[in-house]
Amino acid sequence: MRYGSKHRPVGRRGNQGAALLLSLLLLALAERGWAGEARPPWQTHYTGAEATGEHVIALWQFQPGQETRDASGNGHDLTLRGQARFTTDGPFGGCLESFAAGAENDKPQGALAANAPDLSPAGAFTLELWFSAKPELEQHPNVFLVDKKYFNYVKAVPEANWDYCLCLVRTGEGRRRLDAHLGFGTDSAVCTSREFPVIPGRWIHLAFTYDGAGTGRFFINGRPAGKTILQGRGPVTPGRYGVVLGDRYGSIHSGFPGYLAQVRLCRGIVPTFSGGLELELGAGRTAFVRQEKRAAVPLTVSNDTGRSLEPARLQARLAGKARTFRAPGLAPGKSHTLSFPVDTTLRPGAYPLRATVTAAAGDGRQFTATTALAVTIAPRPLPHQMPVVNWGTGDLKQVKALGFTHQLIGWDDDYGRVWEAGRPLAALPDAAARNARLLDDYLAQGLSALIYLYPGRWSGLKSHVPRVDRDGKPREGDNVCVAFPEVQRHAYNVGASVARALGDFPALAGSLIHSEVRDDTDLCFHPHDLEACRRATGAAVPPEVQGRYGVRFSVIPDFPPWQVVPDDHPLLRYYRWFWKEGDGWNPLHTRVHQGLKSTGRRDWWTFFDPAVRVPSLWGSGGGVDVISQWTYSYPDPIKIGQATDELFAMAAGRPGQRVMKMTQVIWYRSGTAPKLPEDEAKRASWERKIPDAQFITIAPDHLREAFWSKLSRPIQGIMYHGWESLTDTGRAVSYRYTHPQTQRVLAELVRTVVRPLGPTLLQVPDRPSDFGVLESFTSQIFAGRGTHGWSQGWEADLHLILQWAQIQPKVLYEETILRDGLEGCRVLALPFCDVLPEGVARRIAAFQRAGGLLIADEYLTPALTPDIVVPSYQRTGKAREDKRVLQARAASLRRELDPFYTRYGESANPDVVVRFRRYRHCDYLFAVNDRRTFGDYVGHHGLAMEKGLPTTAALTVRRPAGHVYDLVAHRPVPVRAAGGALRFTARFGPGDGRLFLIAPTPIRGVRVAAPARASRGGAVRVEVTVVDPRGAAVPAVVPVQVEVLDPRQRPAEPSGYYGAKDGKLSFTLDLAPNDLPGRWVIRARELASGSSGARAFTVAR
Amino acid sequence: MHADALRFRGRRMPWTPLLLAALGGLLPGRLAAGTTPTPAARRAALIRAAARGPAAVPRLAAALNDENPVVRRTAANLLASLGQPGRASLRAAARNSDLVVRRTALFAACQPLTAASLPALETALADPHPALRLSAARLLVALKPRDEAVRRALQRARDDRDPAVRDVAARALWPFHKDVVSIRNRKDWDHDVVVTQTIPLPDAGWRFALDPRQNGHEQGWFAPDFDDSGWTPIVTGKAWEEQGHSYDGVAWYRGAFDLPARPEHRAVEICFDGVDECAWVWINGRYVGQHDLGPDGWDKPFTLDITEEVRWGERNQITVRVQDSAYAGGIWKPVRIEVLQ
Repeated sequence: MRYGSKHRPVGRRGNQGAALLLSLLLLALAERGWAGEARPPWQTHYTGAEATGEHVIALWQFQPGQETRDASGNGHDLTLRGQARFTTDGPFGGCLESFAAGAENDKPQGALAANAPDLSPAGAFTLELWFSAKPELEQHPNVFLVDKKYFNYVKAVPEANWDYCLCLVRTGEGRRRLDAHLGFGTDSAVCTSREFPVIPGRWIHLAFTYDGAGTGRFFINGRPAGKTILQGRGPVTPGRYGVVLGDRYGSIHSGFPGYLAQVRLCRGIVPTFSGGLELELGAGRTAFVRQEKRAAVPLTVSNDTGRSLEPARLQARLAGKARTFRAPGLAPGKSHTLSFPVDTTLRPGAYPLRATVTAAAGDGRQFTATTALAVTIAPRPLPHQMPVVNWGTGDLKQVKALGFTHQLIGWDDDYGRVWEAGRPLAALPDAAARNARLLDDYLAQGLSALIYLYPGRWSGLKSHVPRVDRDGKPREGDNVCVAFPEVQRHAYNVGASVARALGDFPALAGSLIHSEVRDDTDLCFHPHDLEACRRATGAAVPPEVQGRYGVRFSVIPDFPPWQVVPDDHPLLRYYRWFWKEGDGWNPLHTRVHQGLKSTGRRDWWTFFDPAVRVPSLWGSGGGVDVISQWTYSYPDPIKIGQATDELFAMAAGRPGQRVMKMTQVIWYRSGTAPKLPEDEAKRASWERKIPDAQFITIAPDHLREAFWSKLSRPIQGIMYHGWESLTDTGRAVSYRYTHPQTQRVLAELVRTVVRPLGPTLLQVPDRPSDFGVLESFTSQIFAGRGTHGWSQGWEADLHLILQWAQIQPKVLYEETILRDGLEGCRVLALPFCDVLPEGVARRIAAFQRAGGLLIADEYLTPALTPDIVVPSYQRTGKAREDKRVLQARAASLRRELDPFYTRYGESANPDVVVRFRRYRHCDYLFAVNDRRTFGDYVGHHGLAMEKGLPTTAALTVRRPAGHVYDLVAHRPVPVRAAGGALRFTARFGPGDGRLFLIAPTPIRGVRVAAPARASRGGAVRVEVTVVDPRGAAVPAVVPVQVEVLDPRQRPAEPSGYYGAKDGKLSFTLDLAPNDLPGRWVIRARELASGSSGARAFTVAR
Repeated sequence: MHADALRFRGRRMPWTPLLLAALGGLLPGRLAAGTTPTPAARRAALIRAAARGPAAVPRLAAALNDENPVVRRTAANLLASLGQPGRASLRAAARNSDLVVRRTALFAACQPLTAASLPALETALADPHPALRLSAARLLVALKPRDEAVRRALQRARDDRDPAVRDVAARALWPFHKDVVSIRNRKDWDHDVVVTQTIPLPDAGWRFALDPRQNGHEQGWFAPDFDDSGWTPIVTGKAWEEQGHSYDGVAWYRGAFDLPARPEHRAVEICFDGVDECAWVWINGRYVGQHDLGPDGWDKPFTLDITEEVRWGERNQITVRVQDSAYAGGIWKPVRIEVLQ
């Protein structure tokens, strides 16, 4: 029996936490019913003083015959918008039906009451309504229930900071929170409710009260649902927009797909919504990592009874253990927070925490409040887990099901506050509160969050620091001058503020810092820019400098005919400075990074992308931990390998910087299927369904092939962008979901390759390449060359030629050559190297004189003589023809190169691309099937061969001996050794990749060692060794799957995948006090040959 | 830097022996006793020979005709690196079958670049391969002094069948240039400059002709009385590609505009919001300036002083020569005249 047949899902953190949380939420709401008491006013149809009293500003009840009428008598009558209509399905009869809006239906919905002064309350106010959602609400992450503000995001203009709006924000499947955005004239702030379930078709009453002095509170079905205190705030600022029910005031519309009933706006806080004794989760966490120190759940007791309360008694129970606390006496309106310590030595899982607080008033009246919530103990992460990042945000369950480990979260709108403060904020209670539940949920789901920070893109900077031209005139565009010292400080302050606000959340794993900011960077001529230039280059900005990408040598008088320039050519010096430091972005990334690390969260990793969408010069991304790059896979998926190699060339400038790689899940329509066939019969099925899709889903075979191409490089993580094209979100945005198979392929690759083999791959370095490809910065500046990260153009195509020629190229920058020389290199390719700096040209000439080979095109600087010429090629756009020509050049190159250069390994099939990584004497051979044809998805357009075809390849590795293992199939591979080489055959499915371990010794089995007895709460040291026939550890990094099973066969914390370095693996099993006594088993299976070992031990009671 | 410097400096690198050993040991085709040396062995032998200096010249010269292109090119490169004796041998390779060898020979012949280089340049200008002709054209442009022989060679290059060669020569021979400084940017102008009147030029009514050989100026296409009736109508404000001209290169626009009676003014400027990519402008047959930044100039506005060239109260003639190297081209944004006070 194969071990895997009994294998539990690797994602060890089930969804039981989320399910428990939801059931507790429902329970909490149900417990807070009004059984046995008179129906509170909000449960009735408002009449009399409730409808027309002095305090009522507006009341819309939508009753038949008077649907549009303001029942308060104040004249705020309604006008319907879009498809909105009135029905009689409300809890009291009439209701307003509204509809969703979005990118493809950006039409006003809901109903509008014209602006009037009294609709902007001068002090405290209460906004309440009933709503019932339609099922399609689930597809809309943020909808407006009521809007008089228009802007629910930061915009530094007065008209974005008036009045109020109430949004229903998706927090998970069937779960929402309320955001009340309040405008205070120059800026805005947001109050946030707790999350609550929203079940389509079920009416929910909600109320929001604002006291006009900074305190906003939410009530769901009459019970408190969250409170936000906005320090130092007063009443909202009156604005000029009308009140819209069921949608946003203006574009882009965000209509509420559902029904609204009895919407009322009152002056003051309606007494029904003033609360009593309350017990709720405080500002803190409910999810913890196992063995975490000082874990505690904050429970806040609030006295909203209007009376002074005697000291309260709070009883709480978690996992069978009860504790009693005493809270001090509370004056009216005051709160006190108690910390309930959590025992994190418990077995990982979700545990209910129930708490009750009781307090008496001076008159003897007793008040009691109860709360129930879920506390999660998450397993500690195993070592060397490869991140699989959703570069976007999706539903947690779906994200997890597809195999992602990380995804992005936003940081909302706190840039302005940090800018105003001019220093790191000590705490951002709003940010912490908004993110706390979210991050708890991430941890409970076994996911990590990456916060996307972009202080340099904050819109508020535009008015402060625009870039200026030589005449000092502000430039158009949003790319501001981030070189201003105050902007650099701001960036640090933002990072530091986030670290302070969210540094305690283990689910927050790091940050994406800015993104796509260099594309529209520009020259700038502030005095500080000019001074910085002078300081760095020793000269003023050369007069020839007009644009950011350089000056063509053809327009420079007296340019050297040999096209070699001094290393310190003024233009070269200027552009080096501009792209490294001068435009301000790289230092800015560093400042955010430093701020994020300022509180000691060393495990956080920061990343920047697309990092090579710049000229080929070190420094992109500044000091971030990781650089990444986006790549579209069409027309040839192995181009993702080219982009990855560029990333490594960039990272070479900052030792220790790591590389991850992102595949775009979206495909530009223009690059794959631009014109809808006129004959409907010739259209693909998606073209018939979504003819106007702007972006479509990457073809599954492309995703698979691109995956293997990038994984064959020593990347530290993989990323995917285009959630709406990967999954059926139902949202009508520009990214469309047009291929359902793609997500299945991704999930399969993560399940069968990344999870089991990731810990191994993260420990296996690259095999040093002796074949360089120079990307010349100087030629980019003087001749307009460069891929700029798009993996297009001749430089990229030459890289593809090399891959098809079975060569493992290494991208070099000029700086690499100047720093490291060409030591270890035997061949150097020079695509589009029209102009070189003297130092580089000199080293290359010396390299060639010493026997090195130069491969170049017809554009090579005349100062060098190529040994082999590969003429440049301009693609026709016809995918098959272009691939044919490039592969023909690859074949020709091989013929010319073969007498002089021996490959370490190769495939006899030109469509199978090989690449090696190496650990000590072990090779890790990747082989990727690039055999493709036109399919029925986009193939009829001729721009991309998207359909992979199966193939077979005879593979050769020039090492005299070795034992070959298929790491995906987990079995040995028959191999023939002859003539100093190993030869074996591999079969490939469409777009498929294979990974072979070639080890100097055979693998015989797995040895597991552990003590025979242990006790609950104790530690068990486990040693796993992958051994050869002599019983020695195999000198390789071997993938190993471990299962530690309790007597009920449930996997314990250390279960999962590992990479056993030098064949050895050791870990500690920390038995929990609530673990089961009895017979436990440790099973270990190495995933090279498939052999396994086991060890049983007894856990005493 | 001269190529000589590149080729000679650092010749004795400490790791050279290692690589040479690699050539002999690791590369395929090690010379076996009694067999024809393999290309790798022949190449390695040339490198070893060249390390001994000019004595290797005859052997290297012979290898210029080796059957293997890598060996041939290695020989050419090594000859070039051996200074004058090597370069002399390379001159004979000006008609070698291998383009790379011919190119190496050409540059060797131009080391240094003097009048003595001209025969080699003229030979190269007649080469069947455009890449070599382009190299020759670039060298010709750099050759000083530009005497009549050089000018004649450049004129031939301007008629080359390859547009890149033509472009290099045409740019060198281009006779029009005027330093352009707007009154607004004159550092010696110590007064506020105010635009008192703006006169938009019409989008329509222009005539258009392609000039792939780049000799329109020699035919007087900028003259006010030039007969452009055979030219194609075109509008400004959009690229010529949008109007059916799928073309990269030089093209000319001719148009006319009426001016009112002379207003009070200190200066008059013509303002182009965007010409993709380079432009040269005549008003009433008089050259007024250029916008010549290369491809980067495609979206950059520019102004030219035309105070002396315009005629008030009359119809004025304007000619704009435009050069575009890639993507869209032409006068793609509005043009206007500004009266400055």
